Amino acid sequence: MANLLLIDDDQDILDSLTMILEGNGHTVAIKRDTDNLLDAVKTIHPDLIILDIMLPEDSQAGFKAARLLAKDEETEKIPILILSAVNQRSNLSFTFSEFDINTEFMPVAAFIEKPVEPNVLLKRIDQLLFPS
Amino acid sequence: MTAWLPKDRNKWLDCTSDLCNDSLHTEKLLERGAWFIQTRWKAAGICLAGALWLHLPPLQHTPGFAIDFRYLLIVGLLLVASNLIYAHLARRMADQGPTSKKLCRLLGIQVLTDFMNLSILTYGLGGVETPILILFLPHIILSTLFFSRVHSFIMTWVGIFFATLPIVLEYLGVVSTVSVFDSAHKITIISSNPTITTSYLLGIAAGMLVCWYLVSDITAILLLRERQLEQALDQLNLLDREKSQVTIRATHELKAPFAAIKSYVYTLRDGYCGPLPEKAQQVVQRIGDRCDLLMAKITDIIHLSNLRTMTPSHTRLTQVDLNAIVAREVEDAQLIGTPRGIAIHYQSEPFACPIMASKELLATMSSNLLRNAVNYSHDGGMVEVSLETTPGMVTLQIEDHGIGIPEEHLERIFEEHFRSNNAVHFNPNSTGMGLALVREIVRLHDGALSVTSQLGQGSIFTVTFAQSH
Repeated sequence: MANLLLIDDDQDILDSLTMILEGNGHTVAIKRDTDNLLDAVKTIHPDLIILDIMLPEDSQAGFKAARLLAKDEETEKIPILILSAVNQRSNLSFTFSEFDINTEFMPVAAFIEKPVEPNVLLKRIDQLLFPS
Repeated sequence: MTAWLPKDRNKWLDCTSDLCNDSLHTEKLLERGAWFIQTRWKAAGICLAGALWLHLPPLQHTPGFAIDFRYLLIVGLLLVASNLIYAHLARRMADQGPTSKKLCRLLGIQVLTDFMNLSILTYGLGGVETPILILFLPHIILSTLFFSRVHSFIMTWVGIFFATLPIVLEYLGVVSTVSVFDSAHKITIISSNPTITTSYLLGIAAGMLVCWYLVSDITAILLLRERQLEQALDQLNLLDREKSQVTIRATHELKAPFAAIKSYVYTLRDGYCGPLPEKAQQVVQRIGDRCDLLMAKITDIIHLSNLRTMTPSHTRLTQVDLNAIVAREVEDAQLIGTPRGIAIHYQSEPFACPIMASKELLATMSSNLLRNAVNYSHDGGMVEVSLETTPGMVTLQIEDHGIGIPEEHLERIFEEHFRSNNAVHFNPNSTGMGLALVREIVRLHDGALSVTSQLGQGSIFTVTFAQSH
């Protein structure tokens, strides 16, 4: 099972996802903001990061965090799974979807919209951790 | 004339102290520079053709005429030579990433050499004997478009200098008088009488200055308007971006609590908090369903209100392959169809169907139509999807064999929140917004949307877009 890092400002999301993930044998570390992210990631050594996009201090904090992690040699290979409540298809100037995943703008491995069915989330994590 | 001028004209004058007309962006200057070079090729062609024509025997022997073709030939060749250099410099500048200043300098040199060529032509074609001096005026007009007001004024004086130079030199006897007529018809009075010569020179100068004054004033007004329009457009874009950010934030703030509730519902439903009695499981399931519906409604209402404020020009269109988008959405819709035994049969074109569209919006449109077809199909039913291209058009058709739409409701199904009674009974969990979203998306793409249906037999939705080449 894997060592996962959950980054989200919503304590209820963190608690419920922790229940689901720990219930399936994963180890979960949580972080409620993106402050000192690189240090935290280098300390925790997660196998995968589940990252929210819109945090209270910055509506694009998740993007910035993903780009920061992608630029660091120690963290660039850690797969990032975006988990956001924003409708991925609203086609507004600052929204995003799986179509936008790329190494420059959105250097992440996958995108899932909140709330997510536990089975869908667990399957996606498995796919990212053990790509066949 | 001053009544035309905008009140803040001085402000405009203040900000044009640079060589360039600062309202012109590099891109525009590049375009105008390219046009200027193209036009000069035509002028060179006319000069060379004129020289050839003058050299032909019929005109050579026309009584009264004695035009020297060599001046046209020289100017034609000079234009060709100079234009080769300008075209090369412009290309090099474009490759290196030009600045407005560099482009304006190149344009300035071009106008200057054109004045010199025109001066030679004026001399060679007899000065006042032909209307050749008129050709100085387009360059004055172009100067007001290319350069700042001060610099176009200086350019006008340079033009006056070159326009009057042949007459002055002839008057001073520095060069011999050239005429297009033979000695019997030659006009010599202007280059021999000091009063007439002075008056003529002043007339030329006055004419060119008046031309500069009128055109530069009009240009100033037009450029000011252009700048105001650009500022208004920037302001609109800024407001649009702010509106988008507010909308996204609002969507997030409204959806996030429901996402958290739903996440807890999952933990209860799936037994992560221990086993639940059957009744409690049913209640939890219903809480979850209402959560889903409310979240979907919030998203659809915000999405629809956002689409309604957009115009086709607001939509970010790129060339997309409708075939690929529909194929992907068919796969997704099949996921909700499979548990009910509903099959989706997609008959696609064997090649890409390119249209100018927003990929996300077309995905939303296709998804809504497909999910609609699945949701209102009977268990074990079939949904047929086809994509056809006809010359210039791409047509998507989605046919179900489900409950159908009562005829009296066909016109209302694209209204938001409207749901016919048979639809509510068959599928209570729908936002009633899906088809309203589809209609808005089709409108934003200048497409056509139609529906035919028979109650109890099924419905066919057809969307047509212009094909992109």
